[in-house]
Amino acid sequence: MIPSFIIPPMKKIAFVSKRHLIAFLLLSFIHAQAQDKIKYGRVPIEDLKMKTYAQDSTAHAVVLYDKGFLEGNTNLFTRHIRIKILQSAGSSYANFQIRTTSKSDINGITYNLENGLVHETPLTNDNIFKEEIIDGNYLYKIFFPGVKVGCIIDLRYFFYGLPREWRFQERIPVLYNELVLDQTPNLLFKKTMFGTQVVSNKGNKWIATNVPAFVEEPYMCHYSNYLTHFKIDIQEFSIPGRYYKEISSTWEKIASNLMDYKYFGVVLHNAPFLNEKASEIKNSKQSLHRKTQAAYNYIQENIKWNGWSTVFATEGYWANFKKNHAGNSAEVNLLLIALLQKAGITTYPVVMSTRDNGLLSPISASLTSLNYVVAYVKMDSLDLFLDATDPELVPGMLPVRCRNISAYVIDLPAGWWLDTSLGKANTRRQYIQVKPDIDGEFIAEVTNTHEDYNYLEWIKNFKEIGSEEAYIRSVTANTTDLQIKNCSISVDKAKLKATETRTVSLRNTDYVQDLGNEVIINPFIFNDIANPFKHAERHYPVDFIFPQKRSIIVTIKVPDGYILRKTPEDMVITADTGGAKFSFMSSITNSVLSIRCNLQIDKQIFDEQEYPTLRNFFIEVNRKISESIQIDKKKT
Amino acid sequence: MTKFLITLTLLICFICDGKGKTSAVVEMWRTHLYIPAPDDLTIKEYMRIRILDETGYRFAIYQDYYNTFKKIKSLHYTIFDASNKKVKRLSRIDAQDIMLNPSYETADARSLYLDPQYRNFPFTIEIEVESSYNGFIGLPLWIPRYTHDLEIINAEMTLECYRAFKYRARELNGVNPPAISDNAKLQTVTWTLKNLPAIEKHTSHKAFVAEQPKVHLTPLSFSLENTSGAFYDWASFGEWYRVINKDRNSLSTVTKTFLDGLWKEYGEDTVLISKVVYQFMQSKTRYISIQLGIGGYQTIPSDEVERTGYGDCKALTNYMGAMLEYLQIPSNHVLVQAGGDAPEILHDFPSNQFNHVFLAVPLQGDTLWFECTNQNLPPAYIGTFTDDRYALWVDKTASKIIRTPAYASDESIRTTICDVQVHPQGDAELKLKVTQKGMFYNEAMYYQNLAEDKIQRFNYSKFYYKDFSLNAFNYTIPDKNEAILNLNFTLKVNILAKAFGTKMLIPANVLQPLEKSFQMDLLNKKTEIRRAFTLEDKVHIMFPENYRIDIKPADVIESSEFGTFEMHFETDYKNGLHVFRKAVINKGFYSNENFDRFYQNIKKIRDIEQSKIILQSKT
Repeated sequence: MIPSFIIPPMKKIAFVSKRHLIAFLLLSFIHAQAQDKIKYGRVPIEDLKMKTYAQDSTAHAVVLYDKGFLEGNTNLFTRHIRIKILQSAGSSYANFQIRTTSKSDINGITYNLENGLVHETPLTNDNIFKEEIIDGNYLYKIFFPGVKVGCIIDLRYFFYGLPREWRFQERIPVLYNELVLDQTPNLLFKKTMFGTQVVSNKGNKWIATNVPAFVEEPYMCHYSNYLTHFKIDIQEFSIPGRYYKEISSTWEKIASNLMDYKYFGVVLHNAPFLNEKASEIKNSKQSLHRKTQAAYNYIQENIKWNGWSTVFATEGYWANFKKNHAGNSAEVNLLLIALLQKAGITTYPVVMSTRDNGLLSPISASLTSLNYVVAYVKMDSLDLFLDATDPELVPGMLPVRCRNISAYVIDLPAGWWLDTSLGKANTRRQYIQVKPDIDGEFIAEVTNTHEDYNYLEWIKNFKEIGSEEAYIRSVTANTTDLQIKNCSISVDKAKLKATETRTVSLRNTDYVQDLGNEVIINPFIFNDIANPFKHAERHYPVDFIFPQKRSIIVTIKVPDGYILRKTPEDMVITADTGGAKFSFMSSITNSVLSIRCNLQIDKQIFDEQEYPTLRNFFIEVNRKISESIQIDKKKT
Repeated sequence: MTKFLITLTLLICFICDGKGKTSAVVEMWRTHLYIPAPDDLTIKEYMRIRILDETGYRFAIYQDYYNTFKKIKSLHYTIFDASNKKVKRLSRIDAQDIMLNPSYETADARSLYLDPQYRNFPFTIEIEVESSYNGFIGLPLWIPRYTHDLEIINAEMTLECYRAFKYRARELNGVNPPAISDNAKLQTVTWTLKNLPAIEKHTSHKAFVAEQPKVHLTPLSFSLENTSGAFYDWASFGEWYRVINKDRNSLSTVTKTFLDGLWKEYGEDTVLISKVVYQFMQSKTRYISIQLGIGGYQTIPSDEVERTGYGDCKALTNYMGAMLEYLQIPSNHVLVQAGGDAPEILHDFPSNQFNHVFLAVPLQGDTLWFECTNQNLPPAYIGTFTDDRYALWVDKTASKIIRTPAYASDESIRTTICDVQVHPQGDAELKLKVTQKGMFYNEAMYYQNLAEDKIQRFNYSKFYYKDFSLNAFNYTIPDKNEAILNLNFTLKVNILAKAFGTKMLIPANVLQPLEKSFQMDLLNKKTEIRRAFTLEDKVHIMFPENYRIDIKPADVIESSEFGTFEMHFETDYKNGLHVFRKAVINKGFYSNENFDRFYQNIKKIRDIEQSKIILQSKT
């Protein structure tokens, strides 16, 4: 549901006659010709002769030219993009999906060099297909004709208003990109810049040149945070007969606007169906913590999330709670806030953007960037985020999608920023006991405890499998490198904790090697510590999403007739950047060797300069836990 | 907060007895196919399903398509709560009408999508849908338990048709023959299935579907948009396909001139000319899927493909065929169920079981196969998309089922030559030269089409070392006419060898373990090796200077019904060891006891690959 103060899609505003359009188009031509050497419909022969792109020989295609131009008096936006197809894999860049008012707003030509001559194939209406995606929402699919390796395609189209974003960078290299936004009396907008590439600015013109292809890396937060682009928010728009104004010039204004809005702030006061439960909680003699928990449980049980992330409730939120028991994220959490507040617990709405929706910028307020709301309780000793959208969550824990650096707490007349990276970690504890069995072979009992975010990952998989029996069957069948003799699990949902205990035989495995006079033991069984960073270079920051904690306790009973060669050296490894620490301590008493390992990543984000240090840290940690323990046969 | 604590210990002896998780229960599912007169089909469905939990919610979402030939006339949806009280009614107007085609596709099919927006588990839904068809070429496959976590209590399919209506049915995997009754006007045929529990999730959906109780059904004759065809036998269906696609083969003068030139240049060398034409077609076109009306079966004319430079499989195949025809080289369209892991069609059940077409040029003694939707494949490379399967060879009045060629183990080969330099700490540098042929050439498509970051990820996924980095990589295809892919990797592997005391241990196999070549469903005890293949490695391990070899593993040759595996170790006169590994694997499907034997074999090979080369320090 789009609230009334958010701008409707552009095409609905563009009620202008054909004649009108042509006149505007001519205007934009004159403008472009006055400024640029590159013209639509004229391709230099050198570009057609180009075989590879010098700066990036692997490029499948390259954007030679991409210009967006907003004409101030008319609000007509024209885009001219020219792409060189270098390899057959690049031919997909000759397919486009765009939104304009009609097919006639689209022009295109394919250029091929044939026997030294330029051959043009124009884009015709037969190459453009209209598709209705949903409910009157159309797009045009363009398949350029005559596309061969080496060709250049020229595409120009226009529409009224502004695109929601302008990209200076693509997944292929961009040679030249220019955006010109004329001053306009009837369109007020705001741009937010994302990305790391250089964009030069002169007046109302922005230019980026030789922009490398955008690459994605593992452990990266959403790509849109790093792709160099402008996010464009329209704040005021007027053409005769239509007027729109967004009051989002500051976060404070957005907050107060939200609180007055029917499907946000008003929901908090307009949920009488919660009153009874609220007074029951309020009048109970429980602690504040218990009361909060009671309210949370009540919402969690009565309204399940339907999978839609948004900051606004829908018109049907009453029925969604009372009848359907399903609602969007805002309905679930706004009703949670309402119940907490009605129960006398000081609770604030916290608005945010989920990880797949990009970061929020504290310095650039934007209503359209918001797509989520959670509750925040701050009262007496309580200081908690609450999100009731997931049946496995508990108070104090946000789902992974919400761990996106910062969120804005609405506390009228203003608000403040909160760090969403605080709180629980992804924790896994291991207890490994290695001992000889009656036959003199080794067996190990391994207990893995999954906690907090690690528990959420574990329980998701567990629920898909369905039952304890099925889970144990699956673990037993799918453990290929060791034979499981015994397996048991226990789950403590309230504490976000699952424990799996497995007894395994180490006979004939990589974990125990009997070389005759000595036995080599590698005791780190079923552990998940690995170096996640295989690549030497890094372009963008590493995002661990949450703090990571691993602790491993190993005990090895040295069998009779053997003696430990030496106790492993103790070691502490830290990354110079801070935020990452590993320790390894060992001792031996009564023929039992004990090792305690701890790995802790406290920082959520490591920037790209810190990457080599972080990578080295993991290499050293792996080296340490790969060290073998040697026991020797006693000489008789 | 509900707190529960379960502790459960059990011995592992009943692995296969367990049933899988049940997410939803179909109490009743009635499918009614009503054919009162030729070309008049209405399908009515009634479903009553109990939705047990969040994972079962997907069964509460109704989704179906419609297009030029199929209309969804009515949709009624009712929800009952746990106490069987009616709580919600929905209908067609509550459904979303959506169209989501990939960027390279346009089609006239749209989807109706109805999410009931009700989540008070458990609950029961009732869906009644009526669809009508104007022209139909096939009837839907009836497979009530279409996914593992759905339990079926009652399912019933009824075909009610005019008496002269001819059909063919095939009951599979335990479906009983139908009950048949007649009256003056209509005959009624009813299949029923009862009590199918949910089962364990399968790694391979194909293996799951192959074993499900199901009924294939097809009309023996059909008409579609002023054309009529038949499934009396394969020849009759092939003829329909041929006729609707003929005479759509005109070519421009430019193309004709080009082809005339070939004639002059290459004379009677049909093989060479076909290949040159194929490469010409590849250079001029790209794959764009356009499926509008009968265009799902009928090609775009070849002159239109020439003009736009794109088309779908039918259009590109037809264009290629048209050019060969102009050169008087006979060729045939071949209909298949395409895909590396596509199910086998029922080759003795003429019906519409195909989703792809490609071109064959029959030659004496051999046939050339041309996949026309790919711009990079070497000419006559069949690949895993269409290999080793039944397909319909379309030929004038003589269409027939054929088997496409299968790769023999000596055709699909991956050879690796690897130099390993081990350092005193146990780290190592590896230089790999890999040559891939036959089915292994398929990877060329990734390397040609993926962006750099995706190639990197793909390359990293090929190695199983705990900590390593890929320092250099490149690929080459030395001859665009031949399916040979060369890959070069330079790796740094941390702790490849374990150094301790005066000794060092190096695994006998430093490359990919053989078992990574198979997708094994260990829980359901099934594996399918769809294609025979050969892996051959020559590894030269150079030891650190002050180490000498103490013990090398024994040479092994293992031979079984599954293939052969061998490893040889040869000391180098310098400070190193040559390790030779070769596996020749047969094609096969193994389940239950056969799978146990297969897996025992795999474990034996794992032990051999993991055995250790032991070095002793000289000092």
